[in-house]
Amino acid sequence: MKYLIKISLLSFKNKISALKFSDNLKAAFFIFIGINLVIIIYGASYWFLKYLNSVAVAGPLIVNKLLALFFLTAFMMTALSCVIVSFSTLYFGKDIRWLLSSPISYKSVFAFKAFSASFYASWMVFAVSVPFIAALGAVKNAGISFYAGSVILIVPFLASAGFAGSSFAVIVMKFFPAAKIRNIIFITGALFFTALLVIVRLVQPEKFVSSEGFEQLSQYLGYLDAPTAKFLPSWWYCSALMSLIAGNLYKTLFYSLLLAASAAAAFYILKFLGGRYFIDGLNEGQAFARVKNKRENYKKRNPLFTLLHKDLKVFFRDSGQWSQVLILASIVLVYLFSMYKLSFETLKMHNTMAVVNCALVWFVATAAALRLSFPLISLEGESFWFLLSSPVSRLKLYIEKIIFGSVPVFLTSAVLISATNYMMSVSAPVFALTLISTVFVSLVISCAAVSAGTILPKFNYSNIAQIESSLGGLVFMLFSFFAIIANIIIIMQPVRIFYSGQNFQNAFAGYAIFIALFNLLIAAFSFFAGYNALKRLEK
Amino acid sequence: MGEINNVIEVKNLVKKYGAFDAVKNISFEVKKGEIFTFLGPNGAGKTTTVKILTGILKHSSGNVKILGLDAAGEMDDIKKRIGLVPDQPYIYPYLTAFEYMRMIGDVYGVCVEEQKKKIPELFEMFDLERRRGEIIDSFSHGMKQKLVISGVLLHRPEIMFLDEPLVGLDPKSARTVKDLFKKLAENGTSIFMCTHVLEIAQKLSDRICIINGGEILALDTFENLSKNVSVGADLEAVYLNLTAGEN
Repeated sequence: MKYLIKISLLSFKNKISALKFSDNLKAAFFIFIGINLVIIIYGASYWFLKYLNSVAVAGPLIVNKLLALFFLTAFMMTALSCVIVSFSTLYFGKDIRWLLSSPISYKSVFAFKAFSASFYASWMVFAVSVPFIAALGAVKNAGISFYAGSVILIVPFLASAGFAGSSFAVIVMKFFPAAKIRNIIFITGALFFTALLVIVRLVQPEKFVSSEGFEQLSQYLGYLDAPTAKFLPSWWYCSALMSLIAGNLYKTLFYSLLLAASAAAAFYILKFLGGRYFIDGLNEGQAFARVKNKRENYKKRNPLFTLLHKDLKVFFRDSGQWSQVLILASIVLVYLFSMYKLSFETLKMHNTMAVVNCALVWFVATAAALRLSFPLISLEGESFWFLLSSPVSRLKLYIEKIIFGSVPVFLTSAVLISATNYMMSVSAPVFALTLISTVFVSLVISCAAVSAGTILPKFNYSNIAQIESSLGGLVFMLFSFFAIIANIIIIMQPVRIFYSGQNFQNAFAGYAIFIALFNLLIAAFSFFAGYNALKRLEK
Repeated sequence: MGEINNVIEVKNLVKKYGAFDAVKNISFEVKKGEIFTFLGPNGAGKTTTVKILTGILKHSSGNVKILGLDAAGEMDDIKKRIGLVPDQPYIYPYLTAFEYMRMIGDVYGVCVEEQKKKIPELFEMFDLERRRGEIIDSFSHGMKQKLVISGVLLHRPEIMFLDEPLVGLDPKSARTVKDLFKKLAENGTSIFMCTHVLEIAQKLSDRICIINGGEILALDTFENLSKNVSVGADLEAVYLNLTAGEN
């Protein structure tokens, strides 16, 4: 086990020392974003907890309920993440076969990988929980023992969730064919996050912020029984924190022991299951996957269509892509629901919202492009040699990627802009103008996404999320952001003219042509930048 | 258009990666119907040369003519007439073997009638018939290798570039592939092969090019190479003598 830890630390050290300037820049940017995010979480949590805590009589009770809800969610998210991470770490890791062929015992390999899975699955929950807990301490004027205790006790709390997740993964790998179950788990994970997102939105938290809505919030939290699941470590951790705040040593010790015992029990259960089923599960991983391809046809296809067909097939068979689509669908649903719930009483609001809606729809389209269009070149991965050595010219290949990458962007933005304009009862000329703008902005977003993905591809990845979060993804987002801002500035003027009652007819055509030309120019720039990169691309 | 004798003509080929010269000013020709083998230790520049000749990499300087066409400007036309079996058979893991073959057929413009005839034949030849409906992700390394070779054979290239083609193949398939290469060469297909397996190079090759550190150390028939070291020396002795025992 110590050799494995040594190898990991050495790899980490080498990775840090091999960072190039662009990597350092990226790391600095992400650290900056991360610190700001922690500050924002702290600030928002402090404001919200203080607001709730100050309520006479029921305040502390509501805070308790909220804490229980927060930690239950953290527990479930860690456990589910760990199920997913366990598959890639314990069973599909690139080094797992090599490690098992080494003289290190398979139990040590399993234990090391299980700990790694728990670590990777829980660090983000930890990063979010720390500012939240710090805000709680500040609101409750807690002493130093609270801060020290909360950090120490979060380890067995998250470990329990992680070990439980890994145990579940070991069981399903033993009893179900790996290829299928991996898909099922990925989909379940994506559905879980989708449902979480939709549920949070359906609860309409904005209502609770208003003074009229506060009564509803109190009732909502007061009647909420589910979070107080007293048999789960989330409740024990929550109770330990409250005991620390109250200075109740006996209760603190009691809940700390429960947490430590649950982590130890979860570890021993995992160790038992690993010893018994880990190797069997690995062998199950070799299960064949026959595609339900009823008819093998020999229809004639041109090379461009052949590649589109290939990308479509690969897309629908790759479960990693499905989860992207589900997350995207949830964003679209939440956005549509939000717009449905908005009410516009004044003309000024219509005026403003027509423009704001455009910007938001384009940002959603950017999210779609980041997930589905930007990774297209990187997803060719190790198979890219085939395309590069095939007679398909790089121009044709690039056009194919642009076409394939444009479909989800156009679909998302066209559906969203049409539906939201309809919901807001936007006047026909503004509807037409925003729709035309959306078509051209979508073209820009698609071209920019594929182009950035070609200029800065990431061929070495273990999951698609790593491609999106690469430097190229960041560059694309920034480019898209500025293109959207530029377009918003352009369409503000005709929308203002329309709602001010001036002659819109003359302005409309002029602005529509200007928007089309402006976006075609940016799209062309993106297209050729990406194409030149593809021409130079070597692998 | 007259018959071309030298299907590959490489003159003063250089490939640089920054300050590192992966290929240093090499020149050679490959004749029509010849089995030409590149032999050398790891990092010698074999795969880089193959990648340049198949259009995956661009050369830094020098001239490359393939089938009489200039690789610098006519690579798309060249690619229609050549085939590559890379050192690692990475192919789309979510396609089935059949879908992969159909993709190759359509991308290389093989007419549908010919695909209908040849795809089952190739599956039969490489024992892939039973697995044709399964996704490639479930295939072993050797099966993927056989599928890539089948794909190349489907479009009947005039030159086949083979980078370690026998790695991972079972003895029966390796024998099939060796016999096939010989037969293809007899029928006029040129074969450019990189290998570490000295026995295969010795038995199959018409000429052997020994490369090390991006430079050609020797290029001749096995018989002539052997004579230069000592009469009756096998390829292992020639190779070790020239590369000073490098791995």
